[in-house]
Amino acid sequence: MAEAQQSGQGGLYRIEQALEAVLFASRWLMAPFYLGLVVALAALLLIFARELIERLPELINMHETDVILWVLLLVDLSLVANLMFTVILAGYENFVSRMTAENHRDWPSWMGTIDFSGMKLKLISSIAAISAIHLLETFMRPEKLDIAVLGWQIGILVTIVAVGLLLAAMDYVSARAKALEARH
Amino acid sequence: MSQDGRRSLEELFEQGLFRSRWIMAPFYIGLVIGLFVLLITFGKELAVETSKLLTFDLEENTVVVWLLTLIDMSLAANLTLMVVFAGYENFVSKFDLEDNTDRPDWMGRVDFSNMKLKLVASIIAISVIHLLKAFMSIESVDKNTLTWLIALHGVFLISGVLLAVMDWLGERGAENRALPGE
Repeated sequence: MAEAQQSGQGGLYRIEQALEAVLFASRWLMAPFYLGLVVALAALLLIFARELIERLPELINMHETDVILWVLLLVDLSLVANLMFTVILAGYENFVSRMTAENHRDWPSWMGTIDFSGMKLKLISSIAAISAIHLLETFMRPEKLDIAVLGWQIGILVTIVAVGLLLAAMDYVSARAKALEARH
Repeated sequence: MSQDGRRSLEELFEQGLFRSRWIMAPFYIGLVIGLFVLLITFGKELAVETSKLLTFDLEENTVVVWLLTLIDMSLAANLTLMVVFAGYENFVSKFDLEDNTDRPDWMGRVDFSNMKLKLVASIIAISVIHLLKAFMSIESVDKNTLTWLIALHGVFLISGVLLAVMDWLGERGAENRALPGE
């Protein structure tokens, strides 16, 4: 009776183990996402190169505001590329690979410095920088100003920054709470 | 065997992901080219206007606006250079997967967030120069547009401050997280 119960429990245990292994392995479903992001990064590079090469000849004779705007566009694209790369690396480290390192042997030591909330904040500040650059483009071309669009652009930038601030405050408060809890 | 195969596949994949950082390198080369174009335009502007200046057929206001344009272009160049340096350092070159001693400093938040704040500061400087330009030629500026420009400038300022606060809070939070473990 006890033996049967034990073997029954063993069976359950084995099912549980298999289930957990499947759930665990499903993290590799995320890996193609990051591969796809790398491909998208390469596509972004193509767009960047096209923008650079196509407009280079005409720029020599252009007005200085246009040149500045063009440079800002290039900066914008590189910032987007930075953002994508941050997502690729930090996402992979947070979701796919950290879990493979249950046994800390093959885990490179520096990977441990990345934390999830830090990544979120970096992401938000990147987004804020990109939208600020876009607003600057609008700013440099006041004659093409569309008030309705501008109002929304400003609203979005302020929202992004406010969200970043609130997220940081959230992290700070929860970290504080944990620190206090650990002290008691 | 299959375990080893899986592991080496994983390593291959991870190395591939890390190597993809070199996709970012051409972006920075392109930005340097953009900087070069900016320099050419700057030089042209300088040469043309200086020759006019020497023959005294410019008004005072025009000269100031011209100077502001030059400053504007240098500020844009500064911003570009900053993105090139900080971006390359943070994303491309500072970490090699081959020797693990190379820490990705951009994950440590100082450089990365500093770069963002500097970027916003540059944007604020550029916008203030533009406002000054509008101020110098106030008769020809549409007042409605001007209102929006001022509002935009205010938004840049506020977001700069808020981003700085965000960084501060993030850093404080990380400190607190680090405390109990030690």
